[in-house]
Amino acid sequence: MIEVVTASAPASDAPVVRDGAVAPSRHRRRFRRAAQRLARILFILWGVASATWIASKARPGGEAVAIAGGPGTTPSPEMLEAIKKQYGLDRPLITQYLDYLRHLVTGDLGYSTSQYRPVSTVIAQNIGPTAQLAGSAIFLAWLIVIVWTLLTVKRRRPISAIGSGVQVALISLPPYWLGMLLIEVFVFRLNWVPAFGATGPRALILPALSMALPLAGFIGQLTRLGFETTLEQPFITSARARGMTDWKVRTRHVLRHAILPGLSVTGFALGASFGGAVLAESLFVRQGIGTLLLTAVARQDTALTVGITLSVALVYVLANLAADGLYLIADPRMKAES
Amino acid sequence: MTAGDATATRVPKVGERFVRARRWLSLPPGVIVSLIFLTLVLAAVIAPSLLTSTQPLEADPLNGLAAPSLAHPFGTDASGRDIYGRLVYGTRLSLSIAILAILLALFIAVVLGLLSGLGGRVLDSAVGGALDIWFAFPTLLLVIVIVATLGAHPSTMVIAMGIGAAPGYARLVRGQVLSVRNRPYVEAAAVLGHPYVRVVVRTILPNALRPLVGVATVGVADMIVVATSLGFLGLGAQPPSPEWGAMLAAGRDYFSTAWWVELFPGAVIITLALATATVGRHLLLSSEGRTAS
Amino acid sequence: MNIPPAQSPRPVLSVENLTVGFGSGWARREVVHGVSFHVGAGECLAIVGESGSGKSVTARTLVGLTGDNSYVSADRLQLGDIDLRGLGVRRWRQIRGAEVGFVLQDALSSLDPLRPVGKEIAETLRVHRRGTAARRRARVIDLLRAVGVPEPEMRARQLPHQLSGGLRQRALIASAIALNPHVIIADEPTTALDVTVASQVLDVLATATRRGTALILISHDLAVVSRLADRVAVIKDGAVVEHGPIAQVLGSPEHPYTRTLIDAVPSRRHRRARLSRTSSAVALPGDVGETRPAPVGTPLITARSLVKRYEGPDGVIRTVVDDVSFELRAGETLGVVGESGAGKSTVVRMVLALTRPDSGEVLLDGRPWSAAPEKDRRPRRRLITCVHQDSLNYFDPRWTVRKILADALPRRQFPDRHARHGRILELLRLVGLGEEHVERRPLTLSGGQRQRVGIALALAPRPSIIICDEPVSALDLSIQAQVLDLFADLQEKLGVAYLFVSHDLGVIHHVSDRVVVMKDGRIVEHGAAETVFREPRHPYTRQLLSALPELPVPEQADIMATQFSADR
Repeated sequence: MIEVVTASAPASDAPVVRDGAVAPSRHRRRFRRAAQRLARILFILWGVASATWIASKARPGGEAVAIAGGPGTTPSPEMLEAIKKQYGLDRPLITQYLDYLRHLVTGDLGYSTSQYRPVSTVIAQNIGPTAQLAGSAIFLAWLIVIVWTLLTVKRRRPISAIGSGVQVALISLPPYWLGMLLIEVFVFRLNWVPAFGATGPRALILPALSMALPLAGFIGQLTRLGFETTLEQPFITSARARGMTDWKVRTRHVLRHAILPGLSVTGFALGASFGGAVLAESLFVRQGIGTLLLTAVARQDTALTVGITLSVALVYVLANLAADGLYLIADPRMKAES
Repeated sequence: MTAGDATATRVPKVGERFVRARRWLSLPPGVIVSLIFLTLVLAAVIAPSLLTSTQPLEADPLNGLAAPSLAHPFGTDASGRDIYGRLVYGTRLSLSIAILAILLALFIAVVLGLLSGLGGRVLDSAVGGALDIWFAFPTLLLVIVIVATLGAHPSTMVIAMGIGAAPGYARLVRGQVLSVRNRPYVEAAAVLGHPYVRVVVRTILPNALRPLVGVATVGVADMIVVATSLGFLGLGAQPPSPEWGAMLAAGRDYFSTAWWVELFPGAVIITLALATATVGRHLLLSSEGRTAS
Repeated sequence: MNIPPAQSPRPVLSVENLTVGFGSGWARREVVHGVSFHVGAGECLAIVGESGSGKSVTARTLVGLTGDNSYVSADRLQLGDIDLRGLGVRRWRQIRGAEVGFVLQDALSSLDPLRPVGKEIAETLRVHRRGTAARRRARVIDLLRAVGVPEPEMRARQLPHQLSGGLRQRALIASAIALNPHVIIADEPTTALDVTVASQVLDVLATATRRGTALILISHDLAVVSRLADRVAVIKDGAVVEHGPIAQVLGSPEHPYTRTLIDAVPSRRHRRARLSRTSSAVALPGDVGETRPAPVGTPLITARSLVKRYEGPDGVIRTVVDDVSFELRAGETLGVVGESGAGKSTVVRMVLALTRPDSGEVLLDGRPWSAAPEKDRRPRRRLITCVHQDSLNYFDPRWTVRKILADALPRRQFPDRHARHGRILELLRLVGLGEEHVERRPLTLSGGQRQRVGIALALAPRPSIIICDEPVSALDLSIQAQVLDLFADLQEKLGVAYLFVSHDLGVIHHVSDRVVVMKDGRIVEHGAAETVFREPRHPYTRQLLSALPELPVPEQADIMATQFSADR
């Protein structure tokens, strides 16, 4: 059945008005849009929570066994019964689910069996360093991208080729390998930066850099493409015809257009950085939810695993929201349609 | 701007074959080098003994941590095993994990993407919502959790990586389908009176899925890096398996003293990832019509 | 070719033997071959040529923006006292904007879409360090007022996409004249604009010349140029083939190419006459059975009170098509003319049954069409096909010409390859292409050839009606002429009816039997083509006709026209 295509569905809830009259007021529409976005975010968070809950229930061997010590141990039936009673696993599933949601809303993520503290406390204590790391990584990545793109796009042939090639190479770098290389050079050989386990801003540089470089390759490719495309646009010729220097043209005109594609993936990149921090934290022996996660899965600590997953998903959703906002600021053309 | 007739040229039939042959030689040098490297890799997968004479598990404890030499071009590891040989034998394992994972991810992605892109608004919202939730889990995190739950083993790695990467590709497929669906040439097929199924199969699908080959090839590069990350964290194939990530994890402690244990596996990983990425990007560019092929 | 020295005192810009090329070594490609011209203060020189003629390259060379990998040489390239040859980068930057102003076409992409218009205009001043920020802002307002932009304070803060096409172009001109340059170079400044708006923009440029600025106007459109130019140089394949005062060149052209260009303009002089030199390209292989006798009775298409509304991105509901009714009878051409936003495309979509009207209906051959379910419509779809402005977008990007055409052939009638191949060749020959095009990819064809393939595609199912939606608007004038002649030939041989939609009055006047004029979704006038064009009743029609630039045509052109028609 061929779909009869219309550009947009006739507004169903807008009153049928005479031509030219504005339907619902602009403010009401903006409010409606914001409400829709909020609903979507809540939906995603609910979905993540539910998916995690289902997954935690579907462990091989059963949940009670996992708490008892994991598959491999063979706890006695009485012990299993006791565990089930203690953790409320004998209640009907729907009750457990609703209970779980209720706890979530109040911020109660359960009790960590490996850290012997409430999950929310554990996460709150450990998320800070990871957030610092991920944030610095993104910041550094963008810094590198902007400088590198400004310097190497559409210059003489060898420079452009190298510039592009380096970006491709950066993506292919395993972050931990890069980290090890950086450690070898800057910690052991040059002694510029403290060794493992330290805290403070100087200890942040290498791990952030090890994460920032592959990110810079990824974002850089998009930005590079955006830059090249923009350079071919007529308004660039107009700017040059006004007597603008090449550098000014690049910074005042092209840059703003070029960063748009990279900006739209930055939300995703931030979320992914929280996940990728696991590697850097493991390598540089840093405190953070990455190492926490590894401990949690190693010790079958379901509550903590779930809690960390949820937190990171929340960060991802919020990061996307922020990135969308930034994008709207950078490109006001979208305002009318968004 | 107006278009003129100035570009009309007649290409004789014989000339066309010549032009096609020359196109192979006119590939960018990076792509050619990558293809050569990938051929070597293929040889390593099919017949590793062609490339090395040592056995991957052949331990020689007295010769542990020997520097690179003629006998051991990449040196030996802590147990005296030839690193070069282990890399060659490990190619099959690492590469098959990566390829199987990307195939799984793309299979899921195509199914979901098609359902979402071709189905009505309800189906699109439903699948889209599921994808949004799925996508909210960062890939590496998801992979770690799945592997940790199911146990560290190549097969679980494949499943975890496939599931972790699927939503990203599903979004891509969905975007492609939606974009192609609204193109003028699809509408033209409708105007000609073709039934919907014919339009989907003959026009929408081939055009929408066209970039997938390139995407898949670049994806293999990503998968290799993810798989080795798992190995690094101890969640991949376990030693003494010659899986590259495991080799990296094992070499971690000797980085200062015996740099070759860490450097060469890493270099090989990077080179393979680079090579596949280069070829994949070239495929993507030509499928987009950037080169007029 | 040397232009005799101008009457006026020393020219503002003089160019002699300009040669421009790209590439280096054995890959050198010369694009402009020894072009010479000059322009004096307050004068307007038009450089007219089709695409690929080198006119844009010449324009860019005059501001030193020829691009990388280019080489430029000239005996003389002088702007006032300044020798432009071999200038350094810094000197060029001083000249650009201050001594020479450059106006590109399509301000939507020639102004930074992310910056307010006022900032773009002020940039010329800022780059050359004139005045403080406050003084610059004041100057921007003055400039906007000078070019006729109402409410300049508000407009200066807006982004380009918030302005209409005409206002945008004026803003672009404002940025070019900001420093009162001696010369303005305008490269196709009105091509993307509606006729009425275009004439207003030309007026703005005319004002600049009256103040003493020299103007070089680059265009492919002879008629547009004739309004403004004092002298004209016709350029083809990188060389000037003719030049002189506008009346002389248009009235008694010497070079055959100039004559081709003039003849190709489908103005009222050449009603029903051939526009191009091609002989009737429709060589049917004896299949005369295609000619249909003109049936009487039911019109092929009946549109009754069509209405369509859309909700715009800002929530305002617009009636895009408002009570439109018309009829199309067999074998005739109904022209639909209107500017952009008039609703023509939506009408086309409703006639093609791609969009359902909100109210009203379309009947095909007297039977319900828009109201019928798709499965009833499908077998009848072959009766009505469409040729679009940009046929390339309507081809599957992977397919060769053969596959494109084969896809349109009903499988029952052409079950095997041999039959299909035969019919494909037949179709190609109908549109003036040949066997050598069968295996080509549309990307490798020229614009005119692509349109021909699009026409062949439209002919494939043997339709009774072909909707032509701006089919020649993207083509060069000479190619446009050939394609319009092709349309005429096909109608005569095959008896198809055309619903011909265009914004170009000249084209509509040339092809139509009856005409419908649309504005803002309504039909404001309709009737026989001659009547509407000779005695327009509605003020809008009159406005359109008056904005249509006319070529000054002394008797000689008339004689040529009659000779031409006799040649058929």
